[in-house]
Amino acid sequence: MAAPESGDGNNGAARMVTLISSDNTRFEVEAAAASLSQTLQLTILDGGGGGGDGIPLPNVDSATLSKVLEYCIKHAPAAANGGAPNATAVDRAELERFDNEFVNIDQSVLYSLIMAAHNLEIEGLQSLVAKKVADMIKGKSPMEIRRTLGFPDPTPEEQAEMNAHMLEYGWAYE
Amino acid sequence: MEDTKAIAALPDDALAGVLGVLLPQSLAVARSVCKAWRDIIDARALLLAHLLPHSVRGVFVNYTDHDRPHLFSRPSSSSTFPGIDGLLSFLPNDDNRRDWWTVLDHCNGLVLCSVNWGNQLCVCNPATQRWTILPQHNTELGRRRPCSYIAFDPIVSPHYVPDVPEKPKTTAPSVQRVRRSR
Repeated sequence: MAAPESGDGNNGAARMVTLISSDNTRFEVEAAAASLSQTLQLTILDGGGGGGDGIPLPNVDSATLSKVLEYCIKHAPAAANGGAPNATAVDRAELERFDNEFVNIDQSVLYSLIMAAHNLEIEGLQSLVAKKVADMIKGKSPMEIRRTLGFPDPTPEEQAEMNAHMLEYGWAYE
Repeated sequence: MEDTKAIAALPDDALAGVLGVLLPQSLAVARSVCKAWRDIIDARALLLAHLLPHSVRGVFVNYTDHDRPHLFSRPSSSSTFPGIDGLLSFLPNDDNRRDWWTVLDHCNGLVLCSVNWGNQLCVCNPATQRWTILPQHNTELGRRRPCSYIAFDPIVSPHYVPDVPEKPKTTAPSVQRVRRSR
């Protein structure tokens, strides 16, 4: 069991759990932070992940998991307050600054995060990364979107379909 | 996993979550980026939710001997769903467009009206208050055109198709023809 630390949480000592990435790196985090994952929440409620056991996450590599946990640790206190009705404007601004900074990353990392947030069902992270990709898409033409997101050049058939779509959905291209 | 490094490698559910936050205009453009995206958007009806009315907001009732239909709807005071203008007062009335008007047909939120004593046809969306007067192509038409229809499916196309038979009294409307051919 994790040694009780001088608690600053609501219940004194914070319970710790261990998560194991696909490349066998062990991460020890507060249960409250890991519980932002809907997928892990039940296991943790059942007492899993404590002691030497650890919860294996075969779909998440260590680089991605450490990034995911950075998010969870930052957001756990606000989530524990039930959406933080008593959060101050300063707290909210700080979280927003963190979020903006957090998704300022390479596309490959972003996609790994989308996968991990999806698999682990971390709602806040899912909408954060989705919004980031949406920002990369909006206001662009289909060709620009393909280039931005690293699609291969369109085949002639795909090009023809894009042109036809542009005629039909003219209102969207104005 | 190497293959998660490209957006194309994301599972449909994860990608749908990303596309789902796009506003209608960007979503419509994204639909043409590639076939996979189009299939995701169409299969989950992501665009449909934006384009179709979400619920029945009211019912127009025509009368045989009254100069206009009435809209029956629940009163609404919210700012997201402002009340629907059942009087079509957004139509300019300088040429008596709203004298003796009647509803001929409707489809997916668009309403086809006969306005100005039955002399003009108008397609409008009472919720968005956008309207257009159809060009008049045959002035010998009777005043009332009971056999006019409108077809509008925003998923197939953003355009609507008014079907106004040239001679309503002698030619069977297309709907009846379809029925007979079954």
